[in-house]
Order: sequence, then structure tokens, then C-alpha cells
Amino acid sequence: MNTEKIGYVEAIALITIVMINKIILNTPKDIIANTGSASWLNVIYISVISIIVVCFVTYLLRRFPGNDILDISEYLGGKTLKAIIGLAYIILLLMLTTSIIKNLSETLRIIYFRTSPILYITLFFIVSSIICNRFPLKVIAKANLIIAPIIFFSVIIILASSIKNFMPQRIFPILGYGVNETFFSGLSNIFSFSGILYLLFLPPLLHNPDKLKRLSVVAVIISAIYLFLSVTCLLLSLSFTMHSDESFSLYVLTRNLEYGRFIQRVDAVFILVWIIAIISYINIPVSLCIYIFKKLTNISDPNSINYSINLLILAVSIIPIEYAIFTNIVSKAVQYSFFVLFFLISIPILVIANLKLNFKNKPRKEQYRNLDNAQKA
Amino acid sequence: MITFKKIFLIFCILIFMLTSLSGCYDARGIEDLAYVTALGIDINDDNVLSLTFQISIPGTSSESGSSQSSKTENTTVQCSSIDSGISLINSYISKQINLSHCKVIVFSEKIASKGLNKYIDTLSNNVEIRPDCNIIISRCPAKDFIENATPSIETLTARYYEVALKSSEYTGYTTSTELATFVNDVKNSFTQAVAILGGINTGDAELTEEPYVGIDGSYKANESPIDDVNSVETFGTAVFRDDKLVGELTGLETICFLLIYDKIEICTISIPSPFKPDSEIDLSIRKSKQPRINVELVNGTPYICVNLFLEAHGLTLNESVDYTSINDVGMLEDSAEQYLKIQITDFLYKTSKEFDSDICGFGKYALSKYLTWKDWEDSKWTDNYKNSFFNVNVNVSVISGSEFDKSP
Repeated sequence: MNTEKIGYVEAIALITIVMINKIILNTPKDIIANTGSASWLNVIYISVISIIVVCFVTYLLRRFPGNDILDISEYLGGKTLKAIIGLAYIILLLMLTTSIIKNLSETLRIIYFRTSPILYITLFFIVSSIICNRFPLKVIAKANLIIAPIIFFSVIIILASSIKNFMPQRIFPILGYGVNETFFSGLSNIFSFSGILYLLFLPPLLHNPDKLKRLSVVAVIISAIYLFLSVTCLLLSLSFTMHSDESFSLYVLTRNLEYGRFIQRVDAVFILVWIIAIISYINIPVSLCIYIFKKLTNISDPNSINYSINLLILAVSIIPIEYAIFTNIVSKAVQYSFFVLFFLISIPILVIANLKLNFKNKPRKEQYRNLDNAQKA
Repeated sequence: MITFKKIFLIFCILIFMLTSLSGCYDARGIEDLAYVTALGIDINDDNVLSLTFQISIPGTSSESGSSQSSKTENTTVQCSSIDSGISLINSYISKQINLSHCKVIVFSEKIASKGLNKYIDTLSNNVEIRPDCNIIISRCPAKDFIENATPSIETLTARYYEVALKSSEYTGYTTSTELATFVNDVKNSFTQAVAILGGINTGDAELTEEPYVGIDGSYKANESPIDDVNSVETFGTAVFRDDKLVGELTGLETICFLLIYDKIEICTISIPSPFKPDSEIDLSIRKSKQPRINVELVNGTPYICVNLFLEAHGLTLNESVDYTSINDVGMLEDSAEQYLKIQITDFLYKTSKEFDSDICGFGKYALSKYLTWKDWEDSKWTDNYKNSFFNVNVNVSVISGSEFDKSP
């Protein structure tokens, strides 16, 4: 049995948990803020677009079985392009992880640990990331597979429990802030599915790379359902989330939950589950960073890189910068970087690499065709 | 080597247990905190904020089996803001104020009529205050309300607030308004906020022995004819337009509001008896179907149709009433429908013409008529509501009497 490759279900859980953690970390609130009462419509729209993008990307990857974006970049532009793409992805993943850790640490400090230094809270995530990333991705994926259903159920419980607060009329006006905001500028909400960038690195890690398309589509559909439910629940329950800027929108929902007179204030349980979920999630981008670095430099022992990357994340996370500035600058930077790197760089690389492959294979195809014709004659 | 490993393992376990089971050096326990059960917010003539904290004093184990207590301490502070008031109190009392068990926030009428926006924003921003904390608008100063809010037939103060405010579910004389709902309604453009109306029973209301139709519900807080001096009561509803208090509803009007808003479990109403002049019949009513509400815009003016479907059980039993007679039941249904239609129509015109406040949230039914938020905002629903016309239809089905269907 291969101990390095990950299976079909593990891969689905891996991609889904990335996207579901984004749901926990305020993506629904951002979508509602951008598109208002049409956010449910926007989610359906971006979900369909994401599925199309995923199908297209997996179609492009199909021509390079067992190769990831780094291999394909190398094929297209040599080691230079491979290094540039690798470094760009490392920077993006580091920014993404840092913003998540900063976001969560600040939120936890506001909610529970008012007097604790931010360093202690951040260290909690960093130490767990260092320990987990000493193990291969297979182990992280397996651990993730245990945690993923717990998170799924926690989100489902929240959504089901908040039905009593629903006001169905909040889905109107049906076009929210307008057609442009819902369908054109609202397209930027596709960042909610940023987990699809992991697809570019999955083929060499999969047991069966042929199933890449199927598992990607399944993961996006699961994530889309969760995103739709979360956005709809927030929209129908709390209209003021459109105007306020709370840092943890699902947490606001959990604060309203109670099950009779005896089970009240259950938000702490959900926070605990989410902390575990986010620890599990942080391991994935960090592990991917190590993987890319290892592939770029051919180092034999990735542990030293593990420490360096995690300490770098820690250092950036505890920079004493105002949280609002951090959220506005870093989060926006991550969002734009994702669009540029994924849509404007990676997909064109895949397209051009496919064209190159076609072009290279063309003379050989013609040879085969001529040979066939000769045989027939 | 094995011995060394064992010693090392035991050492590690000991270190782990010592650090994990001994608690944090900066942990705050129950003995360090002063739990506030009610918070009163008032303003004086110089616009200085007056905060009153009702702090629960935990009983000792010899006094009761619970750490909760009916004993409370009231402290008032003059301050410029809620948080500065909390800091001032913290410097005064020996413990740190904690609002996580605060059950009610009492605003005086005076402060409510000036606007509550900045206070509710501050309160909802406080992670200690729960969203299910109730909002009461007191007809007397908030300090007096809290000082008189002492449980008489309940041992625990916190539970007293919890249970007392739930009475709206089976009386309908007031509405349960939680902080989250209140904030939502104040910020919305398609509904307006309401709150619980509270006051102190001064015992000045005159009790009369003559029976009269519909009078039992026509009181507001501190007007009810209950012979219990200086106890707090919640009766009626405080009506807001945006964040400002604009009026009050009586108990009966509150029932009408809750029937439309679909927030009532069961309630008792007295209707004029169709069988005997100058007498009344008590009915226990509950909804049989969801209210059907339709909002149309006729030449830009809202035309609102309200259809209510209720079922009733007769509570009054005397020789003149026979709940087994189809004829009697029919007359009773007509009388109940007519009575409720008049009451609800009057209530709705009061909200539109007098208060200019869409507390029933008819705006949400109009939302579907618009495509975008801009269209909706341009329609200026909140300003247009005062021009509304109402068409109320009430369908009452009298099911039976209570224990007996006719006088034995």
C-alpha cells in the first residue's frame, strides 16, 4: 500500500474542508455585504461558474497525467517558470494562512481571551501546525477526514437550529443591489471557492489521478451546498449582517441558539469545533508550501522548512498592525492574488501547455496517419 | 535504560498534570465576578447617563443548594457612556462587573424617546451581553423599575426575569422583545421595532365591580387594577419609529399586534355577549392557520389585506350560552369576528396614522414588489406607511366550551 498518496474520499475531504473553513471564516458575510438580498442567487451563479472552471481545469490537467502545475510550468517554460510559479504559490498560500490565523486569533481574543497576548493564541495554531507538518500529507488528509464530518454536522446543526429565526421575505428584492453587483462585480465572490487552486497540485498526490475530475466536481458541489445554506441562513436570520462588520458571522448565529431552557449558550461548543477545524485546515496550505518548496529545491529533509514557514507565519501574524487595516489590505491582497495567479496565470499556462503538447504531437500524429493510409493502400 | 525511560515518562506525565490541572494563573472564577441580572439605562435633565445595575449576590451553600440567589444589590452610577459607567462601578465594588447573565435591559421612556441607537449598538457590540436579553421600556425611571423588581413567588432573580417575561406567550398582553430582534428591527427598512412596556404598579387604579366589555385588556403598564403596591409589571408594548419611542399599545392592542405578527400561542379575550346585553363572554383563542397578509400598491398607496384564522374555546359558562347549539356557536363566532375586526382595524390605523410606524412588518410583504434595493429605498416605505389602507378579515371557529359545553 502506498503511504504517500491520498485516496478519493480523502481528496474530497481535503478540498471541501478548505472551502468549509472559509464559510466559517466569514465568507458568507462578505457575499451578503457585496450582493445583499441577492446573495443566494449569487451563490448559485458562482457555484455554476466554479463547476465549469473545475471541469475546464481538470480537462486541461488530463493531458498531463500525474503532473501538477509545477511540472507543467517546467514543461512549458523550463525551470525558471517552474520557480516563478512555485514561489508565487508559496507567497499566496503563506498570505492566505497568515490572514486566517490572524483573523481567528483576533476573533478568539475578542470573544474569550480578552487579556491574553495575541502571541499565545497564535502560537497555539503555529505549534499544532509545526507538529502536524512533520507528518506527510497522507496523514494530514486522513486526520482531516475524521474532522471533516464533525465540521459538516456542526454547520448543519447551526443552520437547522436557526430556522426558527427565518424571515423568508428577506430574499427580496430578488436582485439585491442590482444586476451588476449580483452577476458582474459579484463574480469576485468566486474567491469562496479558492480551494480549487489545490486541484492544480493534486494529480501527483492522488492514488488514482483519473478520478481528479469526479472528486473535484463532488468537492465543489458539497462546498456549494454548504455555502448556499450558510448564506441563506444568515440572510434569512439576520438582516443587519449586511451593514455590520462582525468578524465571525456564523458565531453570531450560534449566539442565538438555544435548545429549551437547559441547553443554552452553546456557542462555546461550536467555537471549540471550529478551532479544531481550522487547525486541521491550516496544515493543508502549510503542507502544500513545504511540498512546493521541496519540489523546487529538491531538499531531502523538509522539516527545517516546516519550522521556517511556520515561524514566518507567526512573525507576520503578530505584527502589531491594526486589525481593520490587516483585514482590508491582506485579505484583499490574498483575494486579488488568487484571481491573478489562478485565472490569469495558471489557467493560461495549462492552456498553452496543452497547445504545445498538441503541436509537438502533431507531426507524430501525421506520421501515424500516413502509416495507416499506407497500410490500407 | 528502561528505568530511565520510565522515570522520564512519569516526569512528563507529572509535568503535564501539574500544568494542566492546576488552572491558569490569570483565570477568573465566579468569586471574582459580579453578575448583573438587570441593567437600567436612564438619562437625567443634564443629558448625563444614569446606569443602574442589579447585581446578584450568590448564596452560600448553607443558605441554599444553589449558587444562585434571590438577593440582589442595586447600584447606580452617573456617567457619560455605558462602558465608562461599568468601569466606574468596577472601581467601586470589590468584583468585576460581568453582563453575561444579564436578563433584561431597562430603558426609561425619557431616554427611549430621544433615541436608542448608540446604546443598542454599544450593547450589541458587547460580547458578554446575550442576544436573548430582553428590552423593557419603563414608564418610570429605570432605577425605580429595577429597585422594585424583586421576585415575590420566585426564589431566583435571574429566573424571575426569565419566567415573568415569558407570560406574553399565554396572555398576549405584552410582547417578548430580545436584543437581537430589537436591533434587527431598528436597523431594518421594512419593519419597526417594539419593546416590552414596563412600569410600577402604584395601586392608584380604581377597581370597579361592574363588568364592562373589553376593558381588561385596555390597560398599559402601571395602570392595571392589581392590588399589589410597588411591584413591577410588564403590560402593553412600546412602539418605536427608527430608534425613537413614539407611542404605547394597551394590552388588547398588543394582542392584535401579536395575532398579526403570528407571535402568540394562546390568549384570553372578552367579547360582547350576543345572548345577553351588557355582558361579556371570555374566549380562549389561538391561531388555526398562519395569517395571510397581502400588500398591494394602489397608485403608490399601500393597500394591506390581513386575513386571520383563529380557533376559540369558550371559557364563560352560564345559562345563556350553549356551545352545542349550532345557532349559538354561529352567533358567538360572528360576534367574535366583528369584535376582533374592529379592534384590529383600529389598532392598524393607530400604528399608521398616529405612530407612523410599521411595527407589524408589512414592509417585508412589499419587498417582493421591487427588483433592487435602490427601487425599494426610493419607494420610502417607512414614510409611505402612514397612507396605508387596511382590509381586515377575521375568521373565528368556536370549537367548544372548556370542561362543559353548556351549563350543567
